[in-house]
Amino acid sequence: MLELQRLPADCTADDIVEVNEQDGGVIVDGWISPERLERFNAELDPLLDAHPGTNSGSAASDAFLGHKTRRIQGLCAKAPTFVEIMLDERLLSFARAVIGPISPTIILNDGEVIDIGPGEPAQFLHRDDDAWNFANTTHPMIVNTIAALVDVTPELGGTLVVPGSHRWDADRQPTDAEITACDLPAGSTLFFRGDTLHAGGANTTTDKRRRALSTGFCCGWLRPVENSYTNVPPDVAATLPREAQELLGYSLYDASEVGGGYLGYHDMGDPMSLLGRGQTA
Amino acid sequence: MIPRLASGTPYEDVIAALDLSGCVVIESLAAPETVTNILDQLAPFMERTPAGQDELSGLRTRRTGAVPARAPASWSLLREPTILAVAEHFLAPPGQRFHICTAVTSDLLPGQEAQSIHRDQWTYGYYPWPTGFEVEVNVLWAMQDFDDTNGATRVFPGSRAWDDGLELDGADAIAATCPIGSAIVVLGSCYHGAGANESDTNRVALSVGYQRAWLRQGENQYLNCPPDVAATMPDDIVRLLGYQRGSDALGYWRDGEDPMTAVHPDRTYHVGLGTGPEESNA
Repeated sequence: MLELQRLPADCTADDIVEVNEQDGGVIVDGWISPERLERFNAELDPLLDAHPGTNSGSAASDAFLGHKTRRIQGLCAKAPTFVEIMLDERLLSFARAVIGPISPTIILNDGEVIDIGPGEPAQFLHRDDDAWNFANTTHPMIVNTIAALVDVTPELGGTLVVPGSHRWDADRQPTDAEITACDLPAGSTLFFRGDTLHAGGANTTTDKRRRALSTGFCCGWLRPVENSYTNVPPDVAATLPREAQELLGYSLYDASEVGGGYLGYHDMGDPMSLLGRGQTA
Repeated sequence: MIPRLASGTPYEDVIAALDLSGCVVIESLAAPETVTNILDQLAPFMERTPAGQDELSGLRTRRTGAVPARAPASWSLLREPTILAVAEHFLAPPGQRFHICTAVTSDLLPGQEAQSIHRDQWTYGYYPWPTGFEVEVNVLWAMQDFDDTNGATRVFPGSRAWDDGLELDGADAIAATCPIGSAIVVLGSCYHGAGANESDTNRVALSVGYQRAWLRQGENQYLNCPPDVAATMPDDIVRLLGYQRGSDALGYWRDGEDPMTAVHPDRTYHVGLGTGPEESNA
């Protein structure tokens, strides 16, 4: 079976970019420190306990989202430690390195806790780029990460990845031997590109939940999966560091240096004016 | 030649003309009273709008945004049936959606020089859109008579088939002169630019851009028209502003709900994969 390469916690952004370019994904062990992990989990416990369950009203959506899976978005407003995780300079460098060739800036696609319950089947294999699959791109439009918030074994639903699939034709299906299930001790994190085939794994245990965090960034000119303007409204965004505000979309997209224009005006000005000065990071 | 069509022309004929030329004038599509009402509602906002900061924006051009929230009279133009049919044709094959990118007045003051010739699809940067693949349909509503001297939009008919990145001389373009209430429809791949205003009065256009719903909007409609304001507006306009998912999974509100739930918390809007919305007003 093909395995993803593993990098140590003190690896560089260049290491992550390089292995990703080669394999379509890479695992960084110990990415989130034990102290930060404990703090983040304590913030998430009450949110997950209060989750009402999956009920989108659509059988197809529920099946993809997972009947036994609890998802939490709007994390910048709900779990302060997420802001630290999102602003990790190596994570942002990785995102900018992959997306930079087709977009001058990146924007948060989603920050989502995905808590998979016992008995949940695996997702179908997909590429995150498929969210914008009408763009006819041959370049990844998004990068994503899956950080284990508990020890995530293949039995618990460790993410299924098809190494090398970022170079495949869109219609090539993997054999079983080409799919690897990630083994992620708590804090370890999978970094992958929007054109890499992957899926949430099946939780085959009877009594354990798989708690993980997905943090993804897409091209600044694309519409993200998560609506951060309603999830993290201006009065809340105003309390965040400047860089977080920018990544949420509270700054103009500016492609003027490459012959393009601007996106995301508020009252034909910079939405940042709604937030005051923000905190200095 | 710019195709000139009369109000009431079937949308199929408008689409055929756009396929060929990339631009078209539909004359007198809006009633002059509608134009007057819109300008009256926008007057307080336009009066306090400063001119642009750079050449592309226009140093003697005042651009006023958030038009849908500020001018209810504009709604009939935003949802004009022929325009929506054209936008759907170019931007939203079955299973996909389009939404409003920008709805902005551009008020050219006397002395504004001609805008450089560009394609609207360049806004996003250097992403190479395939030839024939439209990402935007821009509708420039003439809020007064447009003539050769006051800055009528200059277009290059047929230019959607041309190479990308051309630097064209506006002197070779054709001015889309038209009477008040006309709609100048320009596809995102059609080379064009605003003309110079050499008259002694302002020239006002209402520019309504529609785009594929998986793209980031030119105006942040969620800040320009936040949920509490959107709740006072008709559902079809609110959805056009982007309070709908951009494809299977774009634009979720909260933990995976339809964005309309943010506008009407008392209603249930179900989220489905593929075409939607699957909703029930329980």
